[in-house]
Amino acid sequence: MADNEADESLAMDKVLGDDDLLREILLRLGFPTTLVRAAVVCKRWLRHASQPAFLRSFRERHPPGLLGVYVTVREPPQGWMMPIRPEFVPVPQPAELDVILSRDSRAFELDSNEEYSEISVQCWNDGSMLLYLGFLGGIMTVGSVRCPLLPKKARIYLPASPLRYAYTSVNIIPSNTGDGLSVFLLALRPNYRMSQQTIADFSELKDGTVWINRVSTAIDIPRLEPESEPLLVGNKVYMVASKANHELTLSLLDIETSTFSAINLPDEMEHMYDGDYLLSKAYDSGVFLTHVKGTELHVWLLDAGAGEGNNWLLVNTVCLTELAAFQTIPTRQCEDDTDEQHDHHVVNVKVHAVGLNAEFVLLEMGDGLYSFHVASKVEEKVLDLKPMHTLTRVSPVFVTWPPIFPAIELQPASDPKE
Amino acid sequence: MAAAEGSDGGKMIVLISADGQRFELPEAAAKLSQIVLYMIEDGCCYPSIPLPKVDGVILAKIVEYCNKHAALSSGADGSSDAASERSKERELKIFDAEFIDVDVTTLFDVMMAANYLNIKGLLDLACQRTADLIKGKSPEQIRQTFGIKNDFTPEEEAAIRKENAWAFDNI
Repeated sequence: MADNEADESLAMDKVLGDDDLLREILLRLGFPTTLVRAAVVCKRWLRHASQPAFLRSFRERHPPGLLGVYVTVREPPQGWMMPIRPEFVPVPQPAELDVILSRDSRAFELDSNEEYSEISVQCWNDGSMLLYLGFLGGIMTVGSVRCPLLPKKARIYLPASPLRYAYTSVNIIPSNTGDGLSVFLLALRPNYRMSQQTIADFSELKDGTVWINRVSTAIDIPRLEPESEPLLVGNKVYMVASKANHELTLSLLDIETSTFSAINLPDEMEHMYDGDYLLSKAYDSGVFLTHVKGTELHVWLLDAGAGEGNNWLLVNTVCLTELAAFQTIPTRQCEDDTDEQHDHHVVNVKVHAVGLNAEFVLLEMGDGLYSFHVASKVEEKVLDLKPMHTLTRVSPVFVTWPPIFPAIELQPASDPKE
Repeated sequence: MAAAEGSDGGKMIVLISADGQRFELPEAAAKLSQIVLYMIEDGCCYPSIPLPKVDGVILAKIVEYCNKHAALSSGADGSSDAASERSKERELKIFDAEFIDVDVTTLFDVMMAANYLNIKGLLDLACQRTADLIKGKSPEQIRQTFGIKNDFTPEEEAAIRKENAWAFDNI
């Protein structure tokens, strides 16, 4: 017996004492929850688990999954002025991740005491922060930020947005700088002197209490596309706007230099109907454009480094007809929705949300909302959509990534190498 | 797609374990080890290859793994249609699952040997099995399973748990 135990601890020391083998084992843990628990085992494990290069490989191997979605569904009797609350729809999780949703089943529910005329939810990918805001009369935005996965963390209430002008659109833009909360606000107003111009006011939330105006500049677009939520990537705000001839263009506002520029969207992209495209962020500083063209899903990556000309790279093409969900789309000669006067030559697959790095897309097809993992081609139904219901807004919530490891003295006591 | 003629008539390689046991296996199976492959290529595999770091009991397991994988690898029996490929893959999966379902000491010995002999498939299998043993356990249970001493102060451990409360059942 004693011999067995000695054997056992010798084998353990040899394997778990080998940095390369330990890393290989930790890399195969599969789920962020398991990795975090392993990191608490001892300092040596924490040291490996917290290395940025290790975390990158782990994420590539196991992309953070979808926990659920906030959806806003409009039902037929509701008038367009009626406020609708978004609802959290959880996605079934494997046992290892179930703890995230089950430890506090109400964490994701919205408070009922907020009386906003309209509520939208935006989720940060890192830290899973949740922001919801109300549009009061379309010109003022109020809201708050909280962290459903860390319910003990204090909620931050955003101050009301500046009301100096009659804005045509107000957008809150979260930023993932990594350290703490960074929130910006982009408000657009018409330039009455130049009909084809818009004035953009860009503000930053200071100390969580006041909006400080950083940039006010005229931009050469008549209007922002209503479905395009501006993205902040590095020092630039990206937004899709329509030009005077109704063509779409990607507009860039450099907040450091206050300069405005425009980039053509890919030549091959034809905007056919509302919801057929979406911009999203890459892990580094890139921007993805996901577009449904006929029965194909195209994922374009903007190569910001390549000066003028065509700087879009087609990085992925998915044939939608290969998805089981696609078969639920009624054929062109459908008699049941006669009040729908849409062009029946297009298959209205809508892109409702795109995950970080364009790994995940949430597509509305036929009878519901589906999540689709681009690399593995795994599709899953997230929500059943009744025939007359309209999905107006979808905000995905992903598993928190990366884990946050506090600064702890990790002296390499047991292994001098490395 | 390797066009190796019938493995039965192929060359045999002899491996000698640390405790002097002899294992004879087809060259195709022995070549799954990168180290053995280099030795064969360098012509230093006759009359036998001594493996002083691997015990006989463990080498027997390794030889079993290599034999099975070499026998079932693509094209070994000349057939290459998709259906038979799939059934072979399935058979290998079942074999792997049973093969690696061993006690922790044997698992780690196999992993060390696979690492030393550089048998990538087997190393992957052993690492994945170890990772699967960690899944679903609390940090304390992981420490118990692998005999690891907790070297965090209570404050340090609490700090990590607090920042990542979502990963723990209760805190």
